[in-house]
Amino acid sequence: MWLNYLKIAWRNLKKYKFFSSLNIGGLAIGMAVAILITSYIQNELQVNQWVPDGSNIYRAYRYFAGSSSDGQANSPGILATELNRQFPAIEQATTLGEESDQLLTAADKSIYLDEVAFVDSNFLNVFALPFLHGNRQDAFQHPESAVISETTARRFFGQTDVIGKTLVLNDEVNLNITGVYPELSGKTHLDYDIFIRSTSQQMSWLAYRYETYVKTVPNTQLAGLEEQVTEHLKPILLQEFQRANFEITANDLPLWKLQPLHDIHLYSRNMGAIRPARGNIHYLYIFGFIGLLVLIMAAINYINLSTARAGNRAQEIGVRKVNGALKQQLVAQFLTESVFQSILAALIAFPLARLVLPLFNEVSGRELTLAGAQLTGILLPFLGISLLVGLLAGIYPALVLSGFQPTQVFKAGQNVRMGHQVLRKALVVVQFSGVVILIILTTVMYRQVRFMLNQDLGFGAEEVVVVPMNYSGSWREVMAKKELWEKQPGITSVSTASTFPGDSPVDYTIEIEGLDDRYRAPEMIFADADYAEVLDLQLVDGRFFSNTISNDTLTAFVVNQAFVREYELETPVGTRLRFPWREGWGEIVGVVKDYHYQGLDNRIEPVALFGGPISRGQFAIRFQPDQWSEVLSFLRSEWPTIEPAHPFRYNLLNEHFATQYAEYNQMGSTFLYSAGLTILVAVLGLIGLASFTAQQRTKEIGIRKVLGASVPELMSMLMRQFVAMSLIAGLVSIPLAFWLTQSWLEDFAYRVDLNIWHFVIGILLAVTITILTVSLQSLRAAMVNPLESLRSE
Amino acid sequence: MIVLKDLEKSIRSGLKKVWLLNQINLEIQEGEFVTIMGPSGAGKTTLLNILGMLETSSGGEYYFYDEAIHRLNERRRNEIHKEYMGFVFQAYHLIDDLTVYENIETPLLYRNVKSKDRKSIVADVLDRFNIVAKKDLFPDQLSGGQQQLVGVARAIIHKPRLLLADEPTGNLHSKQGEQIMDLFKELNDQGVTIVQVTHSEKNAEYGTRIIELVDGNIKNDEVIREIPKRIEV
Repeated sequence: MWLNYLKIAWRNLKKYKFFSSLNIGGLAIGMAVAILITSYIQNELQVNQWVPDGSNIYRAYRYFAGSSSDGQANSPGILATELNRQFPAIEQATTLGEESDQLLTAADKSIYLDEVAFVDSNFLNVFALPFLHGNRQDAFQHPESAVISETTARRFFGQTDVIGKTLVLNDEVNLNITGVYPELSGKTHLDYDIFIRSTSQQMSWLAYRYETYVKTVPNTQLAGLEEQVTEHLKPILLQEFQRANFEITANDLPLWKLQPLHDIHLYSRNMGAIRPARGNIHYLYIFGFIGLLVLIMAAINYINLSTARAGNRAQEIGVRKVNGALKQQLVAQFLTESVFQSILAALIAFPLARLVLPLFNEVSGRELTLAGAQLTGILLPFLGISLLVGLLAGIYPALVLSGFQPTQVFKAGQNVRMGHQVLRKALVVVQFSGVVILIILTTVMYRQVRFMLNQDLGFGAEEVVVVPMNYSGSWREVMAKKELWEKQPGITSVSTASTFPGDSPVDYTIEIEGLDDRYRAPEMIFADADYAEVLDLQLVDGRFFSNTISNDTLTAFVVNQAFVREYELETPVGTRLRFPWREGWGEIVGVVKDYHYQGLDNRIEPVALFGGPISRGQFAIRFQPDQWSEVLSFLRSEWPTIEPAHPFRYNLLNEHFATQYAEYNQMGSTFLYSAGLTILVAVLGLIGLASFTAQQRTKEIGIRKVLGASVPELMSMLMRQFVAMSLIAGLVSIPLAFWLTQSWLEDFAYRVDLNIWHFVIGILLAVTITILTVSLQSLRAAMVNPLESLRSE
Repeated sequence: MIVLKDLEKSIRSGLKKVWLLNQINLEIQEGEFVTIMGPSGAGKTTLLNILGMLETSSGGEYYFYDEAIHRLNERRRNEIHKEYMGFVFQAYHLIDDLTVYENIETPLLYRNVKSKDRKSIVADVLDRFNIVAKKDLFPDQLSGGQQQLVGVARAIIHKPRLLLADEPTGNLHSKQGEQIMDLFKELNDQGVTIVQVTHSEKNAEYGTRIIELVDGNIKNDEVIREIPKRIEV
């Protein structure tokens, strides 16, 4: 029986090659997209899952009651020691700090490593990294030891077994390599090239530069522990703040919470972690939605094409019924057919997915493999899904087909016209609503990214080169050379500062005289008098720091408009400010116009620039564009007089600023591709339906032609209903599209305005796609010589 | 075998009710070979479909082997249909995507006949109908007469007691038509009850009885030959 079903399914496939390939092709593309998305989602959910005992590991973070933020993941370096000592429920606690751009040197190679972690001796007791070489138990027994990744080992030594070899950190510290771990990239949020046992952690309660991880005793009651920690830390923190001259009450102190390790990757947006999480649970929802949508599209194709072409099977069904087939037997037969097709599609989908995997990885910035464990992880659920898709897509056509009455079928002869057009049209409308929504979402995303790239930033990002330095004293060398450099042809001005736009400034607590709420934490930039000139900042009040007024380079502040606005300063210039940890008051000497010191996804916060002599890690030079190469070679020749041990590096300010949008670009392109494929699946269905309609009306077209209808008239007749359907779909989809784009845009502090044109253009695009798709089929039908179509009569 | 009492069939056509069959009273004995004749639109096919339980009547009574068909639900009707009846069509209605062998086999599939038994039954019939050589061909590779031969073979493969045929030779030329009618005669001689609808006087002569329908009424009912003695095969 089943063999018979399969046989006829196969012969039907072969007989209607065109429709079968549309069906199976659409399903296969849909499934391939779904496979990639499923493995992407699986991969994201798997981050940190490998960590032994991971369900007992937490990150300590601060939560301020009433705050809109999820909490702050950075914590003081001394916290881990205190937790280790005071709480029996905490088995181990460890501190992790990060420095980027550390120069490491092996015998003959010097490389800047971007991702360097500094940890305490407890680190491997909390995170049991798998070791390729070395012994985990005593790897961090001695100070100045380092554990490095397989890749790092290869980069420096060309091999992985490098236990006992030495790496020199910043030309100062000899690190003894005690362990090598396999590449963890993509599998952990602690994505570091090297872990160094630190000897210089700041044991202060006031410097929130670290992250603290704890491993609890199994089955610890979390809420209770959090409360204990909060209560225990209150008096300590209060005392520390007061000693540093902060007038803070117990109410200003945060609650201490513990974030499960397994949540960190996906639920840590805006938590001020020292390494911002790359994952975002919203993206999983968005891609999950697309994955589902593309399968629905493919299923709708199947339903539409099968019911539309039901007439072809009507005779067979009638005969089978007369010969004793029960309805459920016919249903079983047609379900076999649809499942057969969906399994065929799945067989194509897997190689297809593997084929486009490299592209997907490149676009999404992930490292999926679809092999080994990842493949088996996805294979079984996917077979289930393809079975399900087959059954769901097949059930309606099966019911329709098996519902044919033999007497009707035979009476009407071969051409049974199906009366299920309304449902079919409704399904096409659903499909095209999806298409319209995807088009609108994609265009809005694209415009938002363009908007961010093209927006006037309020400072001059072009023709500025930024050079990072490595020693905390180097900026003084640059200050000393500044006058000389500025005489160099091509160099307009030179400035040293702690941060330039594109990097996030650090917030510092300052005291503002005359405010009720005196302690505020604006973003702080330490800069010299030429900062405004190099960045082309505009002053709206007062003046910028001046090299000729000696107080300016000791105690003066310049603030931005947001600072004045937010803290409600009536006469900003002249207002006195003070760092609690520094002697004496300073004064605001000027106000700069607000500028986007960070990407447009971030709001402009209050910023204070301080002219006093505090370490500045970078310098920047505004140059004449036509003399860029001379400037660059001049800088290269000068660099060794600043930091002889470190190779020269530089960024162009505008390029560096744009890297902030990399994630949105990635997200946008991943979305673009998957949306494109989803639309392709819908288009395949439309092609099928259009060519079927044209086929069905061949005779009518012939008659009309004989009566004098022109080809364009016939085409417009054939295309009218499809255009109407896509217009209806466009209108129907507006509310959902509006809601989706609106909620996506909410992530951005500065965004494009949604206007009616975004939707009109989306709908017009969908209609255009429809017309292009349908016109070919219609043209072919309209061009047929009427004699041919009427001959059989 | 069959008793019809005041059987009616009407359909709605717009606002009007149109009577296809009117107060039909009819008895058919086992072993008869009945021919229904009459002009187009007289209700011949409707009557045949009702007898074959493909359609239901809208009034009156229908007894098949004393079972009151008009009172049964669809499921039970289907069971009776499946057990006792075979159908032959004017347009053959073979399944295009199945071979001759598979077409003939189909009724057995729906009657859960075991694979081994199916093979031998189909082989027997192929042999009997002289179409063994054609068993792997598809319907469109056969002539009309051969297709109808397959249609008859398929209709009788499960040994129905009643064979219903709607213009079985309508699409065939006379030589092929004769062949089919000879076959019907032979089947009838073996005890199969046959009801056929035809326009052809010549075909009617193969039967034992002729019923003439006009406008949904039986105008004439005439026995032309004795019911044959059953020949065992």
